[in-house]
Amino acid sequence: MADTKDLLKPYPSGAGPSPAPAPPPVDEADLVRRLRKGQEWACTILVSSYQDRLLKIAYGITLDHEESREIVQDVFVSAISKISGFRGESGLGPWLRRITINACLNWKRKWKRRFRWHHTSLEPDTEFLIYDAAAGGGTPETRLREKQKETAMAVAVGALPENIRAVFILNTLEGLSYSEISETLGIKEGTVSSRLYRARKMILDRLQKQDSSQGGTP
Amino acid sequence: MTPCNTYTEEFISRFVDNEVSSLQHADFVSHMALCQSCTSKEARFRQMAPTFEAHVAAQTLMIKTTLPPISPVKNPTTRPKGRVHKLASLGTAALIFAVALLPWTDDPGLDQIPEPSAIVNSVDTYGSSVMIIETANTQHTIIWFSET
Repeated sequence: MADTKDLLKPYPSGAGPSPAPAPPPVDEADLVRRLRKGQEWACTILVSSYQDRLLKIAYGITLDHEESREIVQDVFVSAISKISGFRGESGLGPWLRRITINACLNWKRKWKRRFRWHHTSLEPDTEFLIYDAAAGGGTPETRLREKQKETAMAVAVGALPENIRAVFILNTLEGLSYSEISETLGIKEGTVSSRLYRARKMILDRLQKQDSSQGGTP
Repeated sequence: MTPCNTYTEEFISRFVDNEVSSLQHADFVSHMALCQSCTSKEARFRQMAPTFEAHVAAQTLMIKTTLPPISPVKNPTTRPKGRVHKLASLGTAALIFAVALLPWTDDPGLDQIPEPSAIVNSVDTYGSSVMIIETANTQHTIIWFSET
């Protein structure tokens, strides 16, 4: 395989292959137009542009790897098939976000999924060891403590009621203002404020309980 | 630490989200300089987002590296549509149930089979999923088929 540095070196004038055609523009209006025409390239660009954001939202709400992947997969399939109905008022990002949240909140709790939700793995939690190598920075002890904090936080978020969790996710992961959350979920701004407060309070209470049960300081 | 009743926790939550007026913001900043309780609460509320974000970022990376890539179109060969496929699926389901129940037809204690205790294995496809479940005491094996 060619070294990336070599690939980035410019060819001397008159040497090497003819320059590759410039990539097509990724302007949103153009992307939507190409999606409407059913161009495969546009579908790939759509997925690569938005999958990280949507996966974070879906994982934040479902806290399940497979479920969030399936939801995001379905969101893209649904969005591409319904692109003719996209009016472009709020942009592709907010439109996809809304579809994702609806998909997560309409998430059918089949018994299989419920089982998986409450299932506690008997395997030791070693996932972070794999990903810590890439994370870099800090001593292993520091990383372990951070990982424990992150896991405790995820458990606390997982215990939140779903409507409160959705508000927390939009605020935390998407950085939406109260009015944007209100518009996305169709609830009043006052409700957003109280749900966010309740989310934080419940998380804090749970973390403090965990700390005290482990003999630590809150 | 002495609890403070000057500002509610919901106000502090709104402050963290920058959803208070500039006047309220300035007042609370001045208050925090003197109040350890509110300072501590504000810091704990503020710390939640980066901690959870770090967790979600790691999990998202894991989803992308361990699960099949997200495709903009579902592969039609893995999810065929049509009446024939539906009938075939139902037939397969019926067959699996029949086979799974066969050894129990003469068992008088059939009604007392305990709840499933563990999923031994499961295979998911786009069209259906099969799960092998084991019961706690009797070690019976249940094969569950469902159309997703």
